[in-house]
Amino acid sequence: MNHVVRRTATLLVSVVVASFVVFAFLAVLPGNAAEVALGTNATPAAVARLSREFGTDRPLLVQYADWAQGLLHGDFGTSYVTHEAIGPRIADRFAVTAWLVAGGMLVALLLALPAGVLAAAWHRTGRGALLSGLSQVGIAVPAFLAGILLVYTFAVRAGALPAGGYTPLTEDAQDWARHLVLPWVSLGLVQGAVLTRYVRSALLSVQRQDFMRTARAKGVRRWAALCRHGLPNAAIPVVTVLGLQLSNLLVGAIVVEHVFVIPGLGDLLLRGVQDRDLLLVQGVVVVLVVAVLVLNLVTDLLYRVLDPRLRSR
Amino acid sequence: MSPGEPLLEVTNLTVDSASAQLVRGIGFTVARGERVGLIGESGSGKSLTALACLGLLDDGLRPGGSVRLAGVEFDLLGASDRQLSAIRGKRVGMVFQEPMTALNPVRRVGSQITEGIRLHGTRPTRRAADEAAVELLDRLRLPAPRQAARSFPHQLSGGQRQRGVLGIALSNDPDLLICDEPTTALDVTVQKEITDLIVGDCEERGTAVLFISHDLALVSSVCHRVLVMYGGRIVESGPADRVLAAPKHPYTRALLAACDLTPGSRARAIPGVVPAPKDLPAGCGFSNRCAYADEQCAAPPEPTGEKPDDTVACWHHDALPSWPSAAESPDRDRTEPAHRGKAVDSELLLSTQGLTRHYQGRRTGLFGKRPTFRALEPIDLDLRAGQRVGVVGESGAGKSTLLRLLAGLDRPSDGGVRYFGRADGPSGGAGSRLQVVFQDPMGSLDPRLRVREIIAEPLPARRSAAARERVSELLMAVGLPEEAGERYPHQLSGGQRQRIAIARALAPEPAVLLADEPVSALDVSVRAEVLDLLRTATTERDMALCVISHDLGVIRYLCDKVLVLRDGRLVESGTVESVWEAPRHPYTKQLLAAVPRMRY
Repeated sequence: MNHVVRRTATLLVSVVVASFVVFAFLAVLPGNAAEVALGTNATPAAVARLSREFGTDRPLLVQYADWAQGLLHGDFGTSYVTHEAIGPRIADRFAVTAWLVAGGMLVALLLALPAGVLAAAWHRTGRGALLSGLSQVGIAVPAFLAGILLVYTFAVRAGALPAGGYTPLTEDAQDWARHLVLPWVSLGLVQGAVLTRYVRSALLSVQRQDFMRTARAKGVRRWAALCRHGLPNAAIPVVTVLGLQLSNLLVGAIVVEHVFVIPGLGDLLLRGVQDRDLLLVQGVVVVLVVAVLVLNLVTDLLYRVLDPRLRSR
Repeated sequence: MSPGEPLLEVTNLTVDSASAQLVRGIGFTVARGERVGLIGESGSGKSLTALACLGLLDDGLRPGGSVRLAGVEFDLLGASDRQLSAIRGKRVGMVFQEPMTALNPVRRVGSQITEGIRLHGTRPTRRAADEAAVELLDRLRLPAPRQAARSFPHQLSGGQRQRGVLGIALSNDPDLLICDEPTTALDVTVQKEITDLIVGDCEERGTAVLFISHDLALVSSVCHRVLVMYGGRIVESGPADRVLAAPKHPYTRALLAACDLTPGSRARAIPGVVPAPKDLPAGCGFSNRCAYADEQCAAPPEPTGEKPDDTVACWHHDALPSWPSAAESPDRDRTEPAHRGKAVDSELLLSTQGLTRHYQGRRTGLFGKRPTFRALEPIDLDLRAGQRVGVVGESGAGKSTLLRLLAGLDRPSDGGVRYFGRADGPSGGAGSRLQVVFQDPMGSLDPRLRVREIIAEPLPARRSAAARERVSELLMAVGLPEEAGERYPHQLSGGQRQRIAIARALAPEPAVLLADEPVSALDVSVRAEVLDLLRTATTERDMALCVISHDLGVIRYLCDKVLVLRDGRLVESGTVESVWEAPRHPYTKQLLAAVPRMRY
């Protein structure tokens, strides 16, 4: 319990620090919001007036405090460019990206667990080498290339699935899934290939341990020992990788969103950058940072569930 | 079924790896209720034999021959995993060497025992299985068995874990218990408890035991009959009293002589090293190290004997001198004259005053006090030139803490060490006058340096011609050929590596040598050699030696003075003779009583 409190406190401090860094980084970039909004022919007086209106003429710390206070209430501010509230836009887009990442991870796990177990069990056999080789190839293929190949095969040639676009889950669940299958698979294939190698090597090193022999000596069959005694122990290093991969996926999703024309956070971020919509970019980056930090916290707490040796410390 | 009927029958068992034959056609039987010892050094193939019997060999190792178990119609070799799984844990239980790693760290001990019970369906319900597990732990004299069953392995001590492993092996009342070095990793007093438990419980239930060990004294206290393995073959077998009291095979005789650490004599190491399986000589595997070998030994000798369970595999066993012969028993004439006692008034090299090491533990609560862990309570100790001090005690007694403090590798929390009359620590110019030898000869040598570079490292000008000469001299002194200097540590055997570690420590001619368990990772046949090396270095050069060991025999053989530590406290000290003959502290008595003694 003590540990959970400590870790949560660390998380909160990290969030504050990270939000400040994001804010400060974007604030020191040349070109302020008023100049961008008024274009290159604006008079200095007009810029100053608009700066006062936006509040960007105040000291940086005051601006940060104002912005951070808003964040606490879920208020991300109003865009200088489109004059829309940023919060709801991020929320909509976040849901899309979260579905994309969660589905991609699920595909990766469904692929990597059996493949990793088989590759470990077939270690030093032709079949094991084949699986290892395939996962090696999978690692080498970038997600966007996998996406393009999938689109070509299933959307263009077979015409079975849409090549891009998005339907919200609340509108039509079936259509939602049809649009997401290819993005899920293209994200999941690559991450799954990476994960397969980790599952395999974690299992192989667990397999060499004495307690596996103890399990077999008490009469547990080979495969049962691998699943009942091997996997729970192998899970500990695999979860580490999983946590890192989830963070990667969140960022990697931006590319896949682009390939499949999915209106996710990545798309929003790119648009924010193009429009010089600083406040929007800030908001998206903070959300991404917090998501990564929370995922790290969850990974850390998961260790303690998996490994009793950490719990008693 | 009457007792004495064969339970396990192994015929012409072989184990092959891709490059060599590791077990070379062995046969033996274990009768119901009989305890058979399998003796051998590392690499002799004794563990492989046990694993092959249960079909638990690693992938890549191929067994051959036949293994029959009474009441089972098929051959255990070549049986399917399904068939073998019905026998493992039910008819045959197995206990392994390392209690620290033999249990699954993420599952409770009780559930690991019930898993085996449930698997073979010997108890009707989950509840009954849980009850049986607790009863079993109670039978194995684990204090608070119910709580132990709910514990995770890391919450238990080594002895407690080994009882847990034993619980798994005995959970279905097997007919045969295979123990592979079950107590090697444990403290002597715990070792005695566990072996007493194995013998007592198996005696009571008529369980047969195949007991694998390198410790002859331990085997003699457990087993009715012994098999001696060397180079993948059984070289001698017979009743324990016959084999250990009147050994016929030169290897058995050499092994017994090497084990005999009678103080005041010189133990005889077996010349050479245990060869790697692919380097074993054709014919008799021991012939390249045997004093009696001749051209006849190029052909493999068959095990012969009047009875099938009392055999010896040697062409010359009839022609050997009667045991113990003068040439094989410890050399009592080569003791160092009047060395002991000389050290009393020699130069004081190292002394401690109230040397203490306490650690601050982790805070228990947010506002709780940090608990103090007392690794070493205040200790006063003098080390004089030519003196040999042994420190004994069980794990957690503070032995290694003391050594690290003496070596200046750790800071005392109170008190201090005076080196050569100064209090400025061993680094202030005294570094090369104090050297340390560690327990693990593999881990303590840099794997990327050649032996020559390792030994030259503490020398002042280590690339000079003088340094080269000194290295050659040291290699010779530790009994290694000159060309060993060009090799890397992994190309050498454990005994050779430890000799290199010692050569490295002796290189700068230290006044004080500290050694942490210098022989515990070594085989019996090379142990004597390393001990002699340490002893010679102290006599010839008037060096002071401080040795830590959990093995009381080693301390008795090597040292003049002994300190007994328990829970960080010095409980007794004195000359080796006085402590062994008349121990005063009850703990010392308990320790000495727990040392396994050769029965015959």
